[in-house]
Amino acid sequence: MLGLRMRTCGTCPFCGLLCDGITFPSQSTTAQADTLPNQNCERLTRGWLLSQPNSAWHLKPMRHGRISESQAAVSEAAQLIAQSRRPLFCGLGTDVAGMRQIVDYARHVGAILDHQHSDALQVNLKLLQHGGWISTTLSEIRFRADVIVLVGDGVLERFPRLLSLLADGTKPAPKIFWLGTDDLRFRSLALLLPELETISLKKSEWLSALSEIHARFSKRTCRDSAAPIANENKNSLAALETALAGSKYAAWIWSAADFLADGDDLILDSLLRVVTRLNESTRSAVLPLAGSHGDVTAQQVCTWKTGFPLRQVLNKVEADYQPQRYRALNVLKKNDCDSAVYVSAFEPIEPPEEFWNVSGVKVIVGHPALKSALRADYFFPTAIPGIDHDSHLFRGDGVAVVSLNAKRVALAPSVAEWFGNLLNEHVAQGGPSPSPSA
Amino acid sequence: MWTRLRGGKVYDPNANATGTVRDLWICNGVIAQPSPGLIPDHDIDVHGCIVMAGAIDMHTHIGGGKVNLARMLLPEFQHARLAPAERWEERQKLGPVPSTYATGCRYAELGYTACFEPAVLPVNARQSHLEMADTPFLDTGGYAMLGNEDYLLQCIADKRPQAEINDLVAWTLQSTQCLGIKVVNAAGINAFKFNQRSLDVHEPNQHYGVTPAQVLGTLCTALEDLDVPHPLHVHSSNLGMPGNIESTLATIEATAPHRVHLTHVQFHAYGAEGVHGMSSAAARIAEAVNANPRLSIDVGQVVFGQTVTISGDTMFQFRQCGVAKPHKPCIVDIELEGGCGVVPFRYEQKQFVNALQWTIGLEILLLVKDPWRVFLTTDHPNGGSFTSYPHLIALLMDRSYRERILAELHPDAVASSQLKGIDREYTLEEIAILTRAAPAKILGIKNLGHLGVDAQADITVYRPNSNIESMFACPHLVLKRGKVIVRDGVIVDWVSGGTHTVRPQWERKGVERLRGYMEQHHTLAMEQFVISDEELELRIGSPLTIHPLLHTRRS
Ligand code: SF4
Ligand SMILES: [Zn+2]
Repeated sequence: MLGLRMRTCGTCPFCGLLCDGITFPSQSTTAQADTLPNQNCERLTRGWLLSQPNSAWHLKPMRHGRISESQAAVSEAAQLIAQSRRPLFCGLGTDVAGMRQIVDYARHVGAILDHQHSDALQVNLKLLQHGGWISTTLSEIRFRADVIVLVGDGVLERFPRLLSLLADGTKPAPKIFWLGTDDLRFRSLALLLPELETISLKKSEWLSALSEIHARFSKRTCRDSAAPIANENKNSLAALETALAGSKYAAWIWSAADFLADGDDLILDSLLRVVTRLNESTRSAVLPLAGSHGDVTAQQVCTWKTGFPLRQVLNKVEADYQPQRYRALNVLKKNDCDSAVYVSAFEPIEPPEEFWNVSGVKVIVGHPALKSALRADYFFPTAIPGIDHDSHLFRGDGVAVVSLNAKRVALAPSVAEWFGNLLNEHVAQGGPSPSPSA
Repeated sequence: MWTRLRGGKVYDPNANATGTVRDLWICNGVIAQPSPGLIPDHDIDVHGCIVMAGAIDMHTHIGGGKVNLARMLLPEFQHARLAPAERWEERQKLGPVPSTYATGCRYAELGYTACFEPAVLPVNARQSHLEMADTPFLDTGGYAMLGNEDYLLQCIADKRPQAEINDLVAWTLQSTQCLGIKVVNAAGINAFKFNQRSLDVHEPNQHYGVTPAQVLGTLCTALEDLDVPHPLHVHSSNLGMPGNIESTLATIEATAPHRVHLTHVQFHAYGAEGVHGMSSAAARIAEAVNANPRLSIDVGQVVFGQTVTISGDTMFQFRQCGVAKPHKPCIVDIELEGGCGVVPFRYEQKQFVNALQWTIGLEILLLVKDPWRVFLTTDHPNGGSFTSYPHLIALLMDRSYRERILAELHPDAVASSQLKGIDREYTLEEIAILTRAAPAKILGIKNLGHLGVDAQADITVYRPNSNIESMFACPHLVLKRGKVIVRDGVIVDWVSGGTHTVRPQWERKGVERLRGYMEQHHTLAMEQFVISDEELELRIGSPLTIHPLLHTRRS
């Protein structure tokens, strides 16, 4: 075996699909950049590249832009957070263990909680809370779906191996449609996948298209719609309707980040109505796909530990859940917090510019390549979940908690370790505690 | 370190103690026998008080994907309080699906120290254990769901040898770190995915040609072959349908001669008579249980008010979508294993069906003679919240109290109920069996549910009170592993529980076919389904107790 470069098979942490069976180069302790064998995923390639240490990485805790002794920095940061009236914990790009510690610490200091993807999370959550839905999961689609409808332009870029996960080696092959917006970008993406039946409509036409489908299955005639469908799409839409009419299990997949504009909720709402209607005679279900940068993980852990989803403040004895008010960007814009901690462990995603306007202490707990390490009052470098340390993450369909093994020796502590330290310091300093002591 | 609980009236059915005045000695978190003349480090005087083991809820939905989905769905019913509550009225203000934190606190405040999550989908087992580990105070465990996987149904259709199914069952128990196997609407959840809308016990799932009876027989046999203590935990076919008593009795027949546990039987004990086309079949269920020592049941008592029903039975929950209140039902098909349906619901006193359900649950509890084989559950939160247990215990112990409430219900339900005629009142000893000794016994857990030497020192001490509900709502003391965690209903200390499992043997070659099947049809590797002991203890954070198997048939 000597002389052979070992390779390890593992799970990829870089998007909500959490693909198994990815070949990672096994690293020696000299953490040298190593290229990944091609696995047909740009997102993985980019994530892996960003995971390679270089001389610009900040692998030591920093205090006002200078390297600091770890314990002193933790102690000071904990004290300043405890002194603030209302801390904001945002970003929240971390795993289950990290999020468990973050919520525990938030309970002690009365923090607001929100994730960097929460606008997208909120689209799905609002839809759910408004009228429920009939949903499904990845293996169900792979095994059962005879019609798959991708809804929105970005779903395959955000989840690059989605189609191979869902439609590879399954027999008979499902009929796949892709409903996108009428622009050049979508059309050029669609050209790369000639096997898909693509339907490109202006966003304003989507509602009419969906209500036409709805009407067909309600055996009612289509209402006169404000935006008639362009002719070139009539055929594709008719093909979709025909496929749905003969389908035994039609799955609709979207990524909520494609539906952040005003009025997009109406599109998803009418899509759900189509699915409800289809279920009167056949089976059909939706898959609102998410899960990147720990967004589903943060939402799930926050919900079980506090009873409410993200966008709440933990007022020590009570949780106050107000999705509009406690949206991180709104909090920052309205100066509703006087200290802030930003977490981003998977990739070096910088905090929003508004973060820097916070009046009190600004703490970053995140990827060593973050440039804001130098700008923050305190910076704590973190290991990459599922690359540097064993990790639990929720897959993007929200049903599986996947266990990821470390692929190399960690160069920094995990988010969970940093927040554990902050909490210990808080308690040691006699900070308020919401419960009888442990 | 020795603690003595001095002078209490001990109710410990395992030791035939019915109010026997005696001291309990505790050392290192377990009940122990002191050497003569030993002076305790702590002496707690409980003269005049009633002492029982910590209570056990053997069927309560406290952790996992569908519970969390219900939390996300219903923030409007969530109670915001996170800290322990001082007053009972405050503690009662609890939504149907509280946070893990509030769940642990409220159970402990009621003197419950162990709870079992009955619907662990293998793909979601990690989440269930994570949530249970985040539930303070409670010892926990789960029942893994089987009986609707495409793989298992295919195996039964292909007439694979029983030994192979046994390996699959044992592998599932070990992988999911569960204590038992639960089947929900056998083959029915799966049938619904193929658009079949109903399925009776002897009717084939149209896709696989397999009947629920076949699935039940196969799984019962597996558990018996594997010597698993807890019998198959069965949610029968046709839940909630008028006339479903026939399916329930057919289920009992189909599982003969095996031991079987029928869960939330209240929802499965409906006749189809009367002006409303629905009637109580409690007497017929009770008769079957009384006649068959191999049967045990839990009730799934209904409590009036708002709740949310969360069930793996998507076939049934889909039918319920129309009556969802508020109207936001959720149905999820899950990973070739099963599904979940979350349907908010409100039980109304003045509504005939709900009132009838209320009477049926109590009739069953009162008509089944052997308290060792019937368990008080609300199937939390499906029939109502676990916080109603003090109230329900009072209904069982006080005939006049239940008749007062009965009088307020829908008149047709009252008229058709036999509840009025039942004069049985549960004794404290029977309550100790129902809520402590019997659940531990049916689960095969030797160190909980009693107060003998070597039992874990989970103990609840009540001050006698003529108001039974108040007495059970506010224990004087609750001890967890020998530490006082609750004093007069208020949490004073923090102790966490652990996970209870069993570990039957399996052979690698028995599950190799599953690996091939998963590689072809699933989107997760087989390894992802395996929770190792180390993962459970260190990363999920719950210490593990593996309980011995029965050795009824083999060495
Ligand atoms: S699709 Fe997502 S999980 Fe799969 S390899 Fe690409 S980035 Fe990783
Ligand atoms: Zn249940």
